[in-house]
Amino acid sequence: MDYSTAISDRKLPEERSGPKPQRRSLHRFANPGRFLRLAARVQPWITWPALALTAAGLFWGLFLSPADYQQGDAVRIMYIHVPCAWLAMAGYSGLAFASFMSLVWRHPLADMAAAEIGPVGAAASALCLATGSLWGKPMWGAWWVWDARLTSMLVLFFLYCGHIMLIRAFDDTERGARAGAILAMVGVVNLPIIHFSVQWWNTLHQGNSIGLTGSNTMDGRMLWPLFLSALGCTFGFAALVSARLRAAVMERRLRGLLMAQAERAA
Amino acid sequence: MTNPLHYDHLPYIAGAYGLFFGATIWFTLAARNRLASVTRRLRAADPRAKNNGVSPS
Repeated sequence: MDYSTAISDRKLPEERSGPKPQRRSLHRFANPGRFLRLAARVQPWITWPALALTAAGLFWGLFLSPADYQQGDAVRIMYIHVPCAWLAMAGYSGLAFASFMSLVWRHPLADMAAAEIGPVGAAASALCLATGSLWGKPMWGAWWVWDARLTSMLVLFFLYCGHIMLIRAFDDTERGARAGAILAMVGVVNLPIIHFSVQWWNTLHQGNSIGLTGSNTMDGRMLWPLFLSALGCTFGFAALVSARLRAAVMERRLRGLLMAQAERAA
Repeated sequence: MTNPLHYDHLPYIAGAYGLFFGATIWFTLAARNRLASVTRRLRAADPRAKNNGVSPS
């Protein structure tokens, strides 16, 4: 639904229809007004932990953790490279989930969430590629190799870019959102390819060092700063997306207001 | 505590951290400015809209 034509007063369509029984589902939080109230309240609780955890993790990783016995100090790039990779993949999962919500329930907040996750996720994947390149040069002697892990991550970056461009490529924003949602859903197939690429193919990129089943091959003095940094970056990603989404909801409301004022004046 | 100036491959480490902090600061400021701008415009368009654009209802 396009708010710019639907709004005739200050409230969004979801807010205008009188009191409804509160459903205990995700739809409750998809109401833009309720989202704005909730997000404004939650924002400091995710922003400050993001800053504190990232600062602690990066300080620990940069100054206190030991150098690697093979890679030397270049291993310290890991404390930003791995969180960026994790965020690029988790962000795409969020983008795909929002796209699914948009396709199934046609909710405009899901469209807006997908549109706002896109640029932040693209930046995370670009940072992952760039920091990986800066790590690869001293270790492999090359800025780039057409390795399965690197190539699949590059495909993820292109998927983000494609989504960003596609949703803006149509005059009808709803059509653009639907096309972007389909691309996002199709692109999900790339996530397991990225994760398992180091197992499925013989790659120059190292295998997984961290496993959920306790198969860690990393020393605790490196694992903990990495964990803190990744957690802090996750909070930071959530804080950024939440702030962008709040701004997007308010921009849409503003467009509706200005449209209504112009109609009244005409 | 180790002295980062003595790290081997220091330019690569500095470049990676510089990119990370640069992008983080840029995105944070962009989001902050966008939020502040839209809040200001929303209040100007509708003086009743307070509390960061959240309807009082």
